[in-house]
Amino acid sequence: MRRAPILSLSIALGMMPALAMAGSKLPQMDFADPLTGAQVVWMAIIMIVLYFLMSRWALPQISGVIEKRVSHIADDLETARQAKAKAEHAVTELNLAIRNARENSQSAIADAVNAAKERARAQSAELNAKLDAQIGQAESDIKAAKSQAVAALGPVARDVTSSLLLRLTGEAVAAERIDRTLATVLA
Amino acid sequence: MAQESAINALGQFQLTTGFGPVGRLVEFTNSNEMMLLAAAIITVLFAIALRHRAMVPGRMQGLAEMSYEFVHQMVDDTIGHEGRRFFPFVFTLFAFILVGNLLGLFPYFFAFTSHIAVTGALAVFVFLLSTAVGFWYHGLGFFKFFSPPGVPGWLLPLLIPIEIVSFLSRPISLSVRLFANITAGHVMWEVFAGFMIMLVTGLGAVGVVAAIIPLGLNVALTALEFLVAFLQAYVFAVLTCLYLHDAIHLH
Repeated sequence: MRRAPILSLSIALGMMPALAMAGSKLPQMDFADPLTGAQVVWMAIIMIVLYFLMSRWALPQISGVIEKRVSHIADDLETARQAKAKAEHAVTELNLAIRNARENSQSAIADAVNAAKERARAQSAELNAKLDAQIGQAESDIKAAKSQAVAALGPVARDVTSSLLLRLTGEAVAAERIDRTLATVLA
Repeated sequence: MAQESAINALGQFQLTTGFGPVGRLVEFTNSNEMMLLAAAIITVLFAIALRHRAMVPGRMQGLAEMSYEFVHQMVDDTIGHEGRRFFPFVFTLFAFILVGNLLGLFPYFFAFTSHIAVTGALAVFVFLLSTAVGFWYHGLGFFKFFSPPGVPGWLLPLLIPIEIVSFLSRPISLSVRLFANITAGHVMWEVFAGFMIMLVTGLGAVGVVAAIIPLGLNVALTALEFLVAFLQAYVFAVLTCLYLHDAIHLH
């Protein structure tokens, strides 16, 4: 029930602007009013002043501020880029240095190993030579001892033979004969 | 009583003189007061924004820079590189209309963009400027603007008058669009507000409850009017750019 008056009122009110505009003139359309034209003249003055304020003062300054910021950011980015490049360069150098150091140390190790092997080989060669010399010495000593012993065997054999022959036969055999016989036996 | 409130709905557009007897003498109107206020607000905004020139902008500086870059982008996109020389003009126009529209939304303030004489003067200036720019860039070759390229010859007698009429209607559509939008919004506001008063005086306690409906409508309308205030300023500026683009590039 409450809706009906509201609805009718709203319809009536909705018509009002149209009725009012049809009946009374819009103040905007009242071109007889000198103020309608006067406001445009004053607007022109205000806008010209505003235009010069904006174009000569405000906008170039703001543009300068913005450009300064943009160039500042660009500079910072450039600095960062350079720093990054520098860092990357440093890293490559470091890696190179590490590789060089590794190679150097490996060659040093190889050198040391080779030197040690060389030294060991020289030492063993020296030792072998010494041992060979000692063996040669010992062999010649043995040979000398053997020939001494063999040389010593002749007179003993002759003495024993002559004394045996003397006991068995009771006569002495000539020493040259025994020697001859012994030489054939012992040879 | 209904008649009275309806008439009052248009009373808000009534021009009077401002600034006392001096204003009356030089016919400085209440609408000019608002124009002066708008210009002052724009100037003060830039004065505050330019006080620090901070690398990291504060609110006011941010607002000034945002408006600068917004219009700059619009001019660059719409007109192209040659648009730079018109940027201060478009910016002044946009800022002036936008602040004028926004000021008009405040109670007891005057919406100067609701006057067809004001919007008409602006539109006619834009029209004359773009036409002058067209002739300045192309000389008499600007008349080629009325015959779009790639159109068969037999169509030209039909097309050229249409193009001329559409060209000449530009200032009318430009001015009426802004004037009508602002006027309509303000009239609706006042009609709904008058409706509330009528409900309360006519229906008493029931009317107070019922008045919530037009109040809600007015609240929604306020949001819409803020959108319209921005949108119409933007449309005016974009169309100005577009007309200048046509004048410079022909098509």
